[in-house]
Amino acid sequence: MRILLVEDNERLAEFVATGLKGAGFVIDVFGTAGDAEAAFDTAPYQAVILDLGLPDGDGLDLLKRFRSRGAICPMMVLTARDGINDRVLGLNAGADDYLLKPFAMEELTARLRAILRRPGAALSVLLASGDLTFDTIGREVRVRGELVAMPRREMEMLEHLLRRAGKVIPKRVLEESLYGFDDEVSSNTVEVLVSRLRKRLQTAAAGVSVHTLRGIGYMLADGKP
Amino acid sequence: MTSAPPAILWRIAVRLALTTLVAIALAYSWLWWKYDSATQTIRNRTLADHAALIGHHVTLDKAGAIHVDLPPEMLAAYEGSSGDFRFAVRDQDKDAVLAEGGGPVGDPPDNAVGGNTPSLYLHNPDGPGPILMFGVANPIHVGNHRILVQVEQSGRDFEALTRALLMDFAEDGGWLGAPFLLAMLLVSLYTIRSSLRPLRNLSELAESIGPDSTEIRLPEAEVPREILPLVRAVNSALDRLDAGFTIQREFTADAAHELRTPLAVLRAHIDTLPDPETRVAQVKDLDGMTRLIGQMLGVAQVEALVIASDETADLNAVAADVGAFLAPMALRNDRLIEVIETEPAPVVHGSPEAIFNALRNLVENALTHTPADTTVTVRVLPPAVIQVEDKGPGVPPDWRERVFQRFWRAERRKSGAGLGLAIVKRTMEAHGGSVAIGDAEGGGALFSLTFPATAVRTK
Repeated sequence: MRILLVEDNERLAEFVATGLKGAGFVIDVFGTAGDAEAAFDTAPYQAVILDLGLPDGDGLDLLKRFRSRGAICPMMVLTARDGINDRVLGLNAGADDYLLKPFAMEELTARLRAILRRPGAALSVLLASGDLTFDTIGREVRVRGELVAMPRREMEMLEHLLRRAGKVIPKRVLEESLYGFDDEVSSNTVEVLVSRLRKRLQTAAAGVSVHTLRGIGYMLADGKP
Repeated sequence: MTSAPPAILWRIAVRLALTTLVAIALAYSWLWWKYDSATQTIRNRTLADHAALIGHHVTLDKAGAIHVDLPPEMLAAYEGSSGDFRFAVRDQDKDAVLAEGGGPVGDPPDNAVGGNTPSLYLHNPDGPGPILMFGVANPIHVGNHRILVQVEQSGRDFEALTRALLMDFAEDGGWLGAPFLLAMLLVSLYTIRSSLRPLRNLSELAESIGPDSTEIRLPEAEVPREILPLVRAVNSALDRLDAGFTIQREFTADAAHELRTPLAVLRAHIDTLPDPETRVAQVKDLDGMTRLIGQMLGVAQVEALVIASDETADLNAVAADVGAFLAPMALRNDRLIEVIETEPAPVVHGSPEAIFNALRNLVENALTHTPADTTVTVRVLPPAVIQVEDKGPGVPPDWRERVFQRFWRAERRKSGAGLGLAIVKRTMEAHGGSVAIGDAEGGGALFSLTFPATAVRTK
């Protein structure tokens, strides 16, 4: 998969490129917005990793220009600014994810893989967390290769949790994405569903579990519930 | 306390009143002088005419004797004036009075005696008394006789007339002065008010300028030309202030970039190291440094914190955001976070980002002190309070003031910069609120962020 990396710090660009090559990506590195724009127009990229502070312009402007040309490939922003406003600005400009410097290579590869999996991007049909895998097209859940049967709603919920593994999904968001307007949702519908899914994963001795964070939401992560 | 400077209006009123008074006084003086000189001219001409008329009636007969034949009605007029009009005809050579009427006239002035031109004089028959006679002595030649015709007129009539006229005028004019002054004041008042109206609007606008609205500039339209330099100077001062604020705000962003990029290089470098043990140790050190720099930038941000006038924060939402943000980290460390919201949601005037950061620091702090397998509770309470409760050892009363000082740490050897709680305190101060430490039930610390009740509404 060919990735465009725009980073003006040569050393950082070099390390990141090396790390991503090691993870199996093909990387083109550019240090200025002008060069990156020229490259983006001439070669097909599956994703863009973009530093916000560039010597010849703001990374956000570059991102907007890419998007305004109809670029649909996922884009990840690397930044030193950690304010919520900066984050919101980045996401509004069309970024798919936002990574604060400094970051671990592992984190960058994991996030990059995650945004490449998202709908609209090149679809990877296998979602995984720990020893749990989920085939989004075949609708199969496996723990260490063993098939685990589960009803449609639980599977849908698991898919949502897996797509945002390691992050909290607010209860309201989960409710809205699982149930239509016509479905009757009582205050504990999601809770009941979560506890069933949790028991099923426990029975299957999965290495991951659904954590309930009271007043916050749900999160799929390693370890005990 | 110093007294306020006098209003422009008051100063103008006083000065206009003085000017009007001086103008009225000058006008009366001028009128007096003009009238006085006019009456004098009239009187002198009358006297001269009378003298000339009498002179025409002085004749010489064939024998060379001088006769004064005044018409009877003329004589009667002098006689009937009760002394106000008098005349005398003198023969200068014989020093004899040839005719007289109305009363005794005064001695002729020296320059008239033997002269050729009429001369005016004053005659005061009763010394300091009320009677003053204005006279003319007109030397004429009849044959080779030198005759002097004197005519006198009492000053009383003119004096009285002048005085009466002037008194009348002064009274009427005095009355005229007051409405004139009043009219001038009203016109000045209107002029001042209407030309200062744009200034009032300007000052209202200027009042709304604060650290969070430095983009406001005073409009130059409708401003009187005299005030324009002031408005321009204020606007240019605002430009410079605005630039200062912008620099201050940009500094933290620039500093963040300059500090974090080398850390990112270092981190990426460490990740390429082959030995996992070295890697883990170095990452741990780097994480400590990263956190310290993050906290330093946090302090800089909160020092430059500006809450926009229309910014509001939903405390329920902020609490849930912080919970969602820190939950993964808490779970990795075998701790839980719960958020208990209140309905309706309290909405305060404040920066959601700054409150998020403050609460994040507080919850991070609680997560480091609460034992494994326990829960940190974030509770939103009406009217506008956020509490963070842990199950740790709590904060001894002696420390409760000190924990908010920068770089203060309970245990120096433990990680952490000791800036988190300083950021919390400063954030709450910027919001007009406060942070307090109490004891949670069953031990543990209970931090309360209290926002001012005036800033609250509910959603």
